[in-house]
Amino acid sequence: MIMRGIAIAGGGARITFSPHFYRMPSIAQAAEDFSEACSFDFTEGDDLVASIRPKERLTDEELRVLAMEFCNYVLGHMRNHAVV
Amino acid sequence: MATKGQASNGNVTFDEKNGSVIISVNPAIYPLDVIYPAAYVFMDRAYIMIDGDPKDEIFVEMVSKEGCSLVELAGDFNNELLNYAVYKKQVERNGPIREALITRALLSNGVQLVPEPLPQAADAPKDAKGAVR
Repeated sequence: MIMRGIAIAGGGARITFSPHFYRMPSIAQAAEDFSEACSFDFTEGDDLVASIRPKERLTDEELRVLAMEFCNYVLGHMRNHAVV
Repeated sequence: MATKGQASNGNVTFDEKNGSVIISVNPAIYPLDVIYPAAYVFMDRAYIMIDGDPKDEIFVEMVSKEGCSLVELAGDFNNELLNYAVYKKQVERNGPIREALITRALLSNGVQLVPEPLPQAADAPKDAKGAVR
């Protein structure tokens, strides 16, 4: 199982968020909340790209799940932002 | 448009190979502030990603968690969109009435902006022997 916006390679995951639907502050806040388990790199261009590198060694499948959990977490922040 | 390994049904495209379903949403009918809360409801059942063009067509991609049926997910998501769209419409319709009721409630005699001064000892009611009650 994989989402279109997620690429797994070299022990890390790269998630591409559409700037139409996701805000950088929400992504950064989510990254801070995940910071005990992973380190992050961000690129802001046409898309918002978050590169995740877990601190423990994970299998590709575990990485996918981690990346998708991160996507859900960011979506939670987006929803909270929209509601408030 | 469905490709090999995909099947479409209305606004829904199933991708059995990836175990995902992509739901196409018309933002003219369901705006983004309806899509976010509807998607939020499904976060315990699916991994969700939103993509597309906010003016033309929005894609909600869902990957099922722990064996939830993709058909069920897609159908329930469409229902949830409708649920929040109706809720939003009702909130908008009732907005002026709600504001009027809250304003009236706040301005009624229950609210006192300047507190009354506490009675002085000399003004306090006394009994027959002159003791302050």
